[in-house]
Amino acid sequence: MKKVTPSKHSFSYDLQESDFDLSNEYKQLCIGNRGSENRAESIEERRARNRNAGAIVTFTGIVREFLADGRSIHHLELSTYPDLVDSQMMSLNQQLEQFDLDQVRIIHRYGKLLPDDQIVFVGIASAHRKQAFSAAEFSMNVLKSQVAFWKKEFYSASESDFKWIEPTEDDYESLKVKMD
Amino acid sequence: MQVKVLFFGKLAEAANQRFGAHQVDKDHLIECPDSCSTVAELKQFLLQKQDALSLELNKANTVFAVNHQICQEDQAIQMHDEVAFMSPLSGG
Repeated sequence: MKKVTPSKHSFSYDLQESDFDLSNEYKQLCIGNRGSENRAESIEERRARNRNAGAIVTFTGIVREFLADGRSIHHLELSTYPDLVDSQMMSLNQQLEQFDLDQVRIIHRYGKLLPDDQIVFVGIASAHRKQAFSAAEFSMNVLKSQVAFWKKEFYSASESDFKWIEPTEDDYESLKVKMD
Repeated sequence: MQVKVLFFGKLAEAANQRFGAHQVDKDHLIECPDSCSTVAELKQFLLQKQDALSLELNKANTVFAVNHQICQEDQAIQMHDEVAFMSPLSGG
């Protein structure tokens, strides 16, 4: 897990080939909020850490199987440029300072993924739901079109039956609106 | 001068055709003229050959990075820099 500091909130992300456990990620956000699994910290200690989330929003992206044009997806291949992702995640963390957040957790997978596989996780803990929803949406918009990933969609087991996926106009537009 | 040049996305496929897949990896060094002082000039050098890579590089939506920072074409480059040419980014 890579932690990026400094920021008002805690921020960590992982770039990984393996799957992730959604319930564990949620549990970690809860533990981060109350300080420990058994609530060992005193209320003064928790207050001092300024962890007082009243909202945890999580988003999980999964591989769809059926496309609008009738085709179905056999698998995806996601490639990445880890050194650039590192600097882009630092930049995303800075941009998230515009929201009032406690914790941010991001996981993005790469490699070969099958329909129904999990691709990406965004978890946000914040005092209030509006900031948590907004920050989760903002993070996903950035991941969709601003971070170093490339997606190849295969329609059969054949090596040549694929298309490179590019961000849609909607992806770029969503980002513009949130960054204004 | 020597610079490390990386290609990603559709550009990586086209680069594999030109240089051979075994050549295009994280240590891919390209010898370019000393006059290549910006990303744009390095791009022009790569465009001298007419092939799939040049077609892809010429697209307006190519994204550039030098030493792991996204940049514009006018970004200056120096010997041993890591320059990345990338097709549009598409995560999530």
